[in-house]
Amino acid sequence: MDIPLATPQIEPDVKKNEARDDVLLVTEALKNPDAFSHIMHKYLKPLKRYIHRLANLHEDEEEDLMQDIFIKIYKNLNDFDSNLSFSSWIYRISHNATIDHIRKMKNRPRLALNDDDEDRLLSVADELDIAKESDKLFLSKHINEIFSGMKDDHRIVLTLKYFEDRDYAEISDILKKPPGTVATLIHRAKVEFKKIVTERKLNSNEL
Amino acid sequence: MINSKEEKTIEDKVLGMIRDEKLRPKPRWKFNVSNTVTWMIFLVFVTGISLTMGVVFFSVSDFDQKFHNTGFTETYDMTAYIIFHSIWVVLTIIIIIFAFGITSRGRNAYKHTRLIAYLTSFGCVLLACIFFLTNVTKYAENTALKNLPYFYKFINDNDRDNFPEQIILFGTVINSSSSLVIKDATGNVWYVVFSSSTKLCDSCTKAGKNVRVFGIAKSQNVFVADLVSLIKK
Repeated sequence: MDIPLATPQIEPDVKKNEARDDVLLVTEALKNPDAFSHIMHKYLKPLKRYIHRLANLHEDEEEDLMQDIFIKIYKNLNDFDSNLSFSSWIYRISHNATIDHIRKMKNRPRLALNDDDEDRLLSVADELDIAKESDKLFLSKHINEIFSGMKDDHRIVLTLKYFEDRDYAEISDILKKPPGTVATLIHRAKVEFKKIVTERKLNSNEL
Repeated sequence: MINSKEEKTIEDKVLGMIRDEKLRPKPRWKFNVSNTVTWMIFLVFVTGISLTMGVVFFSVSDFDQKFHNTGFTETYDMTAYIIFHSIWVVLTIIIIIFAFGITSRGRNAYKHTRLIAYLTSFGCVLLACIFFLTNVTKYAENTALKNLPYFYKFINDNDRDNFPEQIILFGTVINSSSSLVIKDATGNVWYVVFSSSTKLCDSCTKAGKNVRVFGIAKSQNVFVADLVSLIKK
């Protein structure tokens, strides 16, 4: 399995252009409601993927939630602060709506990883020097349990950083936490991840 | 995962809802107002409440009549002062923390956490200083008064000349045969007369006792008392 050594980063120029496009899309959607479909078209897939990773809801539930999120986004378009990236803003709304939904349902967020995600999670293991060949096998087998066993905060920051390719500033905007706090959370999440892997490995050896 | 058909359904449903329910984005001014109000609440709470509470502390400390009205006088001592003030301090700190909570949920507040923390700390420190100074001043004043053989105090110097409605007279009981006669710190002799509503403690009329009298000065040496209480040494 080919494990990427670092999370792919989007070039700053590409991000700038994307931000400019987003502002145009918002301006257009404010004038003409039909133009909102362009925003939906652009963000539906990534948002749905993020919500799926975050909450692993049933399909119908997920669809209803997506609708609510987009209606919320539309109603709050004027609240979009052009100092932020539109993408972070839209992720923030989705994140909050999903967390609220989970709270209402009184469910703990459930994790849903696919094959691609497993590769990405292994890149975290790489960063933590625990990705020896034997560990990779172990991680591939137990990745879901390990990740599910983590604290919610830690799991969310790792999801945003490694699965959604968000940088610290973006995660800070999405979670409405200062960048310093985000850095600390990511560090703690990695430590917890390493601890859980070590503990589970020890347990499996004992068995 | 999501497929294009599903995608289309969600898009259509959302656009349909926007058209059918004639939804429009909320106007920008609403967001600006709510954001400004959030910050204003915080600033008003932190600075305003700290200052107001400071004024309240000083007023309460200086104006013993308040204690008289609330029934504090009879059991008046430093503990009562400290408990009373502490309640205010705790309440104010709770309100400031509440304001902090509201503000930190506001838009982009997470980018100004240091500013919010500094302002909150400033409010709390200001409050603590006022609390400390008020109590220490009062304690020092009280201790000094207790150590004097005679007690004499008006609310302020102007009141002393103008005979305001409510004043406090400190003095030692000289005689209580026909009416209560008190000698104050300057050597003035006061004739204290009682009304039907005057409250009088049991041993207040004994000669040699140091007393405090709340009431109205009618002339240079006649004082109508509302309450006469002993000053504990």
